[in-house]
Amino acid sequence: MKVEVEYTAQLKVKTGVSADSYELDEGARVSDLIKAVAAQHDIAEFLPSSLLCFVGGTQADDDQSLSDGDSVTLLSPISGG
Amino acid sequence: MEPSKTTLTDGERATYEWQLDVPGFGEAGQQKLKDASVLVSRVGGLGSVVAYELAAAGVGRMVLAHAGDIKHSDLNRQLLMTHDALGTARVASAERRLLDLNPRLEIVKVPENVSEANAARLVGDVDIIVDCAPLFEERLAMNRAAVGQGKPLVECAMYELQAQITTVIPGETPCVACLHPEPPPAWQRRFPVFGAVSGTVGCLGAMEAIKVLSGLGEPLAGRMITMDMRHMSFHTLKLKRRGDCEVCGNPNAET
Repeated sequence: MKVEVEYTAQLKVKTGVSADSYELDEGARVSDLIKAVAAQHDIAEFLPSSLLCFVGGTQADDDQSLSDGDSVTLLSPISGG
Repeated sequence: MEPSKTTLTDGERATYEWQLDVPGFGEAGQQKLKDASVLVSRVGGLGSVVAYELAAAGVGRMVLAHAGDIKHSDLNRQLLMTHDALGTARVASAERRLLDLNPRLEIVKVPENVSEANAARLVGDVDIIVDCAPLFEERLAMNRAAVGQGKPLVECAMYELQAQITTVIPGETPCVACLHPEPPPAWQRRFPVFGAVSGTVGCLGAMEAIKVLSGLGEPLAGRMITMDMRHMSFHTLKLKRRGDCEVCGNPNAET
C-alpha cells in the first residue's frame, strides 16, 4: 500500500522536503512507517519520542494500522518564541 | 476571574466601540477582559505581540515575565523593545510601550523567566497564561503549574517560517506534557526567526486568550493549527490526550 507523508517544523528542514510517499506492506502500522522514513532520511535526533504522528489529521499512536491512501503528517515539536 | 471591580467607563466604551460591535462579544465580553489578568511568559518576538494585542483589546492586568536586558539581536522581532532602550531591562521597555498604548493597563513586571521555582506563584496570580517561551523546560514548568491550578494555557511557538498553536484546557484537553513529556533533544535555544512569523502566531495567541476569557467563539481546545508561511499552508490537527501523562493523566482518557 502507499501512504503520503507530510513533514512539518524542524523535520521539514531536516529532510529537505515538504512531503514524500512510501510503499508499505499490507497491515503496516505507524511504527513501520517511522522506520521507513528513518531509512530514507536522517531523523535519528527526533527518535524515539520527539515525533508526533497524525493520520488523516488525527493524532495516532505507534501501533495504529495504516491503510492504502492514508495521508500522514509527522510533526516535530518547536518552542521558538 | 474575580467579580467586576468597576464597570466600563465612558472612555473605555469609546476606545473599544468597534470591537463591542463583534457579535457574541459586546459589553459583557469587554467587561470580562477588563476584569482579567493574563500572564505572558516572555515578551520576545511572540510575547511582545501577544501583550500588545491584549493591551489594545482592553485586558485589565498583565503579568510580564522575562529576564534580561535588550540586545541588538532582539530588535528584528521583539516589538515592545526599542533601539534607545538597548541595555536596559526588557520588562521595563515592554511596560513603557504597553502603557503608551493603554494607560489603564495594570502591569506587573517580573524580570525572571519561568522556571519550576516560580511557575506556581506566577500562575496563581492570573486567570490565563499565554506561553511564548523559547525553551521546553520553561513550557513544561508552566504547563505543570497551569494544569495543577486548572488555569487555561495558550501554547504558541514558531520556528523558521513555521508555527504551531493550541490551547490547553486542564481536565478537558491534552496538555503540553501529553505531546512532549520531555524536552526534545533536537531543539536548540537559537532558532531562525522573522518577526513577521512570530508576530503572526502572536496575534493568534492573543485571539485565543480573548476568546477563552470572554467566551467568544471556539478556542483551539484539543486542536493544533500548524502553519508554514514559506508556502502559506495552514492545517488543523486533532490532538490526543495521553492516559499515562504524568501531569494530567486521566485513567479514563483514551490512550
